[in-house]
Amino acid sequence: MKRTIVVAVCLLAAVALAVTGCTRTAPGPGQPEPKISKDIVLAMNTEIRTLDPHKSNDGPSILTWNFIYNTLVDLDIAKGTIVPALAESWTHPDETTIRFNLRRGVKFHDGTELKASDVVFSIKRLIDPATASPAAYLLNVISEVKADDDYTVTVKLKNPFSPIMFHFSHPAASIVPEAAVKALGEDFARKPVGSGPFKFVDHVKGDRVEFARFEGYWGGAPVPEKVTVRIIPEPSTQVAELEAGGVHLAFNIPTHEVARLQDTKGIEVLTVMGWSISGFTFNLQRQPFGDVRVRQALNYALDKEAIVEHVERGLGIPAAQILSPVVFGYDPDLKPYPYDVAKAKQLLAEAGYPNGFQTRLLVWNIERFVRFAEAVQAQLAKVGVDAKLDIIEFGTALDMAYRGDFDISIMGWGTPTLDGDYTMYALMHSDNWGPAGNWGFYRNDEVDRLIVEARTTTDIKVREAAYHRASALILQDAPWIFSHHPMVAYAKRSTLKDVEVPISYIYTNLLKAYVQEDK
Amino acid sequence: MFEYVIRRLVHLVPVVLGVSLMVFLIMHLTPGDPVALMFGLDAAADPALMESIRGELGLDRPLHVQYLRFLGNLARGDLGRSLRTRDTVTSEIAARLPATMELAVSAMVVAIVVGVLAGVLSAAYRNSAFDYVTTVGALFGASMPAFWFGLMLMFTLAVKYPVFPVSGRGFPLVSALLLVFQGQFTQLAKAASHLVLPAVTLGLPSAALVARLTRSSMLEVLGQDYVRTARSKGLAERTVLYRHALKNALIPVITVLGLQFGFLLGGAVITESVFAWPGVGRLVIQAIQQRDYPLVQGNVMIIALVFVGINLLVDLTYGLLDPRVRYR
Repeated sequence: MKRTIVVAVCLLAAVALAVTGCTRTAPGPGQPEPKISKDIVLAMNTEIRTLDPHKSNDGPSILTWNFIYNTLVDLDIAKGTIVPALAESWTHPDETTIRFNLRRGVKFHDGTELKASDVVFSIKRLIDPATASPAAYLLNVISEVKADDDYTVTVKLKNPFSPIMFHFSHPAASIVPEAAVKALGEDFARKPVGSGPFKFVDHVKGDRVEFARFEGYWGGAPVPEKVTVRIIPEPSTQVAELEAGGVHLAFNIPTHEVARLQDTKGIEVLTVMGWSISGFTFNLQRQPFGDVRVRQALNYALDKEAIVEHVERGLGIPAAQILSPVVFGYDPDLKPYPYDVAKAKQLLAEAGYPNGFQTRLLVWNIERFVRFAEAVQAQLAKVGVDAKLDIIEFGTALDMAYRGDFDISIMGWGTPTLDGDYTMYALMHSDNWGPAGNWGFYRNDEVDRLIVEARTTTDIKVREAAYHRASALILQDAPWIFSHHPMVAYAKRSTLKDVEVPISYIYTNLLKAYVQEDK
Repeated sequence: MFEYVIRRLVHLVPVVLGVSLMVFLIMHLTPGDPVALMFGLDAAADPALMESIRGELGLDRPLHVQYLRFLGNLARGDLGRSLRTRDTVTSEIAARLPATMELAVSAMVVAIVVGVLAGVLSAAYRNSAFDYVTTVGALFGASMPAFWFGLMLMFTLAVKYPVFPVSGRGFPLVSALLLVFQGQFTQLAKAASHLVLPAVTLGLPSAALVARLTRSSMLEVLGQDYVRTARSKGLAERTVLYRHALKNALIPVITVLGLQFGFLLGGAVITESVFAWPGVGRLVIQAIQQRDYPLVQGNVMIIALVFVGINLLVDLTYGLLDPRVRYR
């Protein structure tokens, strides 16, 4: 009997030790034992399109690809630099060649080893027209890719292209197992296999996607045992789930909910600088926007501080350039147009519009953009510009913008590669007039030259200087009304620990995350 | 009657063709390019790449060729592949339709139980306090926006007093019912608890309508001669109400219920959004926004078929309630 008690006490002590060993902070005297859960639930508002990384290019899907797959290289988001992932190292034998040395012993979830042939297969699959990937442009510059041996891959480019490493880090360039894709065919999207930290478990369409820890992950098994991504379209419902404890982390927190959630016990709101720019693009082929004085006048007429304060509830910073502060090439010294009604009126008068003029703003029927456009409309009225809002369904509006059928169009654009080329080339280079991004037909030969210089030289200093110079010229030319760089808000239960959401939810890092319930 | 059913089923063919042509034309005439939307924002839409994708997906062919090909595939039971998810339209719908049916049927149960009961009682106790309360309640129920009511239910009964789960579909109800035969009740409890708030949200406006209709229909029937005869025979009031009057009063109610079911199928989208219910309503909205032509066509056709099927059932129900009805 005595012995049983001793054994029982020892066992209890062992259990207690084991439990406290798992926690970061040992409970103080009198506090209840915290309970650790490794089952994490996330919420986002849009359904994923596909689990096959080569068949789409949408944010919600990308979040899940980051769980399932790896890319050759990763982006160190804090530093904005490229770091090793599936490729342990790489060299540039010449300007148009990259040689990747792959990590050895990387296992896919089905137990097979990741080899150079899988990398070659994945790159070819992404850019194959038959795959019809909207992200094929990421690696379209590749002319040839081959495996030198099981752990070396050589990639040849059609022309020098310095942002290529950023493009290799994009989740749409994920590496998939050749054998599984060939065996499963179209079914690969239903039973995806990758080498990432989490294995796919189940996808209930429109409801949730479930993942489990991959014990054999090359970077070390992640802490969470189970991750569930729930699709909850209504932000208010996401907030209710957070409060009720059904969800640990919610991404789509409307700015007007932020203040209330900050005061809610047990919920933390985190805000980070986003990668995007909000503004308006002028159609330079329509008068009076061919006149730089008119474009500058409208930039002076915009009170950016007020827009950030009232439209974004303080979550953002006024913009002077299209690159956000988190993107390579951003110039911290460039100052936005000051709010100056007198100067705006003077410029309009010089351009021959002393009493202003009438124009139309093309606006997407998405609530936050409508609020933004209404605020801008009110401010333009103060300098005599009477802007009518054309609030139009997104697909239709995009169609109009692509055809150049607008005076001024709303613009919201992000740089998911975090390299300036992505945005500068698409939006400001005259090669890309029309659908490709330069909707307003802007052209400045010097800007064109600088953008090309930045995408073809490998010297980081030269690249950065080229973007700074180009941004200064663009600010001067004012092809846009530069408004602001919005911040992103997300909310989590205080019990969720060690999670990182840098810049965008698609990079949510759960490798070390766990839930510490108080009861 | 058998012949009647067959004839009604044959009538489905022109309905399907008409619906498919209309949806096809409306979708293709709406401005907006599915390939452009595939890129969306934040993605340089390289025109050469767009052209190549359009070719791969068969969107570069003339409209009539696309439509004929769609019909040809339809004849073989193939609704094509979603442009957005690249999965087959049939599997997309098969994944979502049961959730919507489950919600619509549950809402219907709420509408019938609450609506008919309230209607009969307020007719029986006409101008009583109960009658007034029901009438006001019905007005409230019919004019309440689902969005607001759903959120109110959620905040009171799921967040403040956590009786029910906040959102999501716990478990497919039919599978849960099958599990009960194996002695497992937990999944049924899960399915039912998730279903209560959305079903009430969706069903209450219909319940209000049914209550008002039942009340007026009952009042009319209660004034008929045969009801007086039944009463003078000395039958219990309950027998008069439920055996004699209700059966006849229900005919107009059944007609409206059939139409309401169609409304519940199509109108579930707001409730589905509020409660994160993975049904077809949200699927269709997204498909329209993304100009996912095959998915929209498939969805509308399936919903049209369900609607026609329900109406056929309604017509057959008349015969059960009123033996004088003949099917020719």
